Amino acid sequence: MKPISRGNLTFVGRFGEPSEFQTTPGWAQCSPVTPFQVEHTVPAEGWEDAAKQVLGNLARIVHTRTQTELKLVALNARVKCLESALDDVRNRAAVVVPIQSIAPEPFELLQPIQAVVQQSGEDHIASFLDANMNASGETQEEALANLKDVIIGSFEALEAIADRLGPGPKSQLAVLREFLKKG
Amino acid sequence: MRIITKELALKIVKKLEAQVVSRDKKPHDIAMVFHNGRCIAQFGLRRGSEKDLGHDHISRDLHLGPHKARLLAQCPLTRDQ
Repeated sequence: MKPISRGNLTFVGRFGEPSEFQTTPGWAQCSPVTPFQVEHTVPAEGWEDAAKQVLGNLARIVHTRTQTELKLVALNARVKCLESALDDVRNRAAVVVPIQSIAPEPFELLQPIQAVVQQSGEDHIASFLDANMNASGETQEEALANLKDVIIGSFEALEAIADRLGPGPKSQLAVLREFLKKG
Repeated sequence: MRIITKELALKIVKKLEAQVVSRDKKPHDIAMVFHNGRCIAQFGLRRGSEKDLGHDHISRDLHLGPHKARLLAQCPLTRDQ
């Protein structure tokens, strides 16, 4: 809409519609008006003070909205950051799964093995922490099944060379003997 | 993303001159690392033809961080060097 000027007064596309200017003292008689009427309207006394007040109000509104928008942008950034952190926590969360049986392998489980399964990138890693034995798998179930296989394979391999073990594997074998027995 | 693939795991086996205990019809072979005639570490090697089969567990078996385990596989030096 085209601005209409009269002396120092300029109206921009608000005529004929209710507006916030109408409620301001000094501007009441200007609205609602048509562009034609404006040409013949004499501004009320004290319109300059009213205009200042309106501009002040407008500035306050703009300031408040800008502050609100900035707060929203900051909050949005924080929410994204928290979501990312939450994903990390979910991915790193460990699940403890007791291994109760290693059937059909010819071994007897003397006590349940507490396996810890954690996500690692695309894969999962299942660990028997006491014996420091670990296995990977694409799913938790696969990682757990692989851990059982590694435990049995390692037990057999370590038993076969029990007299040639360094401190680490010796300790691993000692732990395994507390959990497994050949059936 | 996998840090240690089967390809890198085999490089670690070669680098450490580990002896691989083959296990027929089982999902894993066992690699054993010897030093002065004693076994000082062992880890499972997944059987399968896929080169990118995940072996991220090896870093834990070798008491290394994942990054160091990868560097070990990629290091051009031999064990003797």
